[in-house]
Amino acid sequence: MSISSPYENLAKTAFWRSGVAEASPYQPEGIYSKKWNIPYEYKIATAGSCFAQHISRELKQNGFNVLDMEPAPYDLPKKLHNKFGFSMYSARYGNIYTTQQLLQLAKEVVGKFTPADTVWEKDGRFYDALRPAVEPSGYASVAELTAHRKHHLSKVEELFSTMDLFIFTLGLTEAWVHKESGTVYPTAPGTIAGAYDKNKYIFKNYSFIEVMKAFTQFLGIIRSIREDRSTPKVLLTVSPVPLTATASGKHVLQATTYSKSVLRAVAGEFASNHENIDYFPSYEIITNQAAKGEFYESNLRSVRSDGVEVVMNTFFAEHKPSENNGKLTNLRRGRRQAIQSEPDDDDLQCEEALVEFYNR
Amino acid sequence: MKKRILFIGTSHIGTFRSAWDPIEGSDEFEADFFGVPEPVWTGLLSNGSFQISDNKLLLPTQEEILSAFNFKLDAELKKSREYLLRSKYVFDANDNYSKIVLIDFDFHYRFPLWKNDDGIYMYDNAPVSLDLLLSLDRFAGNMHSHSGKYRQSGLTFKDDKEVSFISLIKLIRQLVPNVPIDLIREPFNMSSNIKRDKHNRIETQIISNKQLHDFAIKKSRGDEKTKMRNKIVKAVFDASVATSFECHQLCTDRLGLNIRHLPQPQETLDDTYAGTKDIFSVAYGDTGRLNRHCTPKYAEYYFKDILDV
Repeated sequence: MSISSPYENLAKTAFWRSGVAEASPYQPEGIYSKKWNIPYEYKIATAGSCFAQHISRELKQNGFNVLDMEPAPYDLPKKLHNKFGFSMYSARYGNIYTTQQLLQLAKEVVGKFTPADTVWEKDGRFYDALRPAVEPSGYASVAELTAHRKHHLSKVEELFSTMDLFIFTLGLTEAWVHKESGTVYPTAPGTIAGAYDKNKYIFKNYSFIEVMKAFTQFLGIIRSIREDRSTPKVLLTVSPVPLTATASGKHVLQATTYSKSVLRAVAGEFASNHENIDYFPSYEIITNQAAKGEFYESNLRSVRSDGVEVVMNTFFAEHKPSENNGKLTNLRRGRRQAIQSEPDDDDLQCEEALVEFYNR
Repeated sequence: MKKRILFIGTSHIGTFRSAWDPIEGSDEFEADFFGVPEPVWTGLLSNGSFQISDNKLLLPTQEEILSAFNFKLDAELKKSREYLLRSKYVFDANDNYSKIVLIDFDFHYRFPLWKNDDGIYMYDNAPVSLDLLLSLDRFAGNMHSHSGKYRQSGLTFKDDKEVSFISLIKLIRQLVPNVPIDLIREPFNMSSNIKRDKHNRIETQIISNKQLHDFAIKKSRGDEKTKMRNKIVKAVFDASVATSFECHQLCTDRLGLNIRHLPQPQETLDDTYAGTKDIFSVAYGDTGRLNRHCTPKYAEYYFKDILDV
């Protein structure tokens, strides 16, 4: 039977009016169909920009087997976990905003790269420039910092070699780089520690090709350190949190659009071409025009808890906690209670937001 | 004009009060004491909020105090509750103290903390910074390990709240920024006086020593009979003393406090190590020798320093 147009008989979600304008942003039907299941026994590793902390936390609260290679000491009060970089992700690497930062970490783990200028000093204390927020007061000595980093890298190696699923939230394309060595930093020098020196550091805004290449290399390294040389499953998301500031010289709105577009395109490219890589549309759910910005706090950056809940409901509708452990009711209830009691974004560690301080 | 000294601490403060008796009536000094048992401090820190108002360091509100004692009470807790409800505040800044002395605000060594060959503090098998140690619940709280009995008898602790006395010290510092604060320090596991037996303190130490022993065996790969075990035990023990000291140092540097050490224990420690086959039987046997320093005699000796205001 012939049809008059290729758009005839398409699903309602294929049309803007029925898929967005007249649909509830709180129940975005058909926006995500999983490529594969996440079995209960899957060892999940999480990393990414600060929005990824929501995902990590929600997965844990819903009984998924999220790895934590560097758990907090058992008697560290929970409210202090994030302050010291614990319980945010599967290891204590803090936020990984760019794919280049992720690649650099993997390279360092396997000894293919030695970052330079990794110790930033402030008021007599020493900060790990590659994760400056995990020790808020820094270390007492370079030796202490080095010992901590060595331990951290060994745990990341363990993580990368054992994970079955890697959930990574792509956050930014902008970064600050050490000119001579190419070392990529998560924060601009001088924000938490260190000092900005234009002869020493350069600003970099990565392109689609560069981000693609970095993530491809990252996957290659991951394969190389795994005993069976396998590639784990990968779930990519893009952070819906706009840039706090841009050093690109463009308007921040334009810079944000560039950054998110590149990252979204990279995620789409990987998901389209690799059976083991899936894309989860948290970016689209939060930025959905039908929500009219309601999923954002008044600063129009931070994501409100009900936005996070919609994101995670969408995720759990496909990857059901009940399929994982048969404790759906209690877990869901527990999750809701946790969400209600949590102070949303205030509870997250987002170093990039610190640059707002310079907005005078 | 008399110099006023304020002592703040646990029930151990009674030792100091006794030692003060001969000085009572002095033309030069007068002293005030504020003390409640350790678990009560924990209850107050974990259930309530100390605040500053009208130049006073206020106790948590009546409601908060009552909620910390909400079941059947043993005599000691009941007495403490009545004392707190009557007191309303810890001290008044207008009382012009020349010095404030904190007793028993101690950092306790926690298992499985140790120091590796490079001098890095390790918590189990992960390196840990002193800042993190200072943030550990109970590390700077000192009270939880003795609180089992009190939990049973109705003292409630909110597990989600930080139980640390550092916040309290910060408030004191805020209220009287120029008054010197002494922190009397007792090295690890030497804080209990014999009287604490009835509060299970000795038992707590024995449990603690068993952990130390188990940890040493684990670290020496189960070879109980080699010298390695004692070497490790000593290393762990040394680390515990050093950790406690360094944490105090860090804390006092940050808060501008003076550390004062109780006299004695070094010779006892050396004696403990000398030629012993089993550290535990000597150091923590039934002799109680490491506890003996906490007597009025020692407190009196200690006043020589404290009174130098």
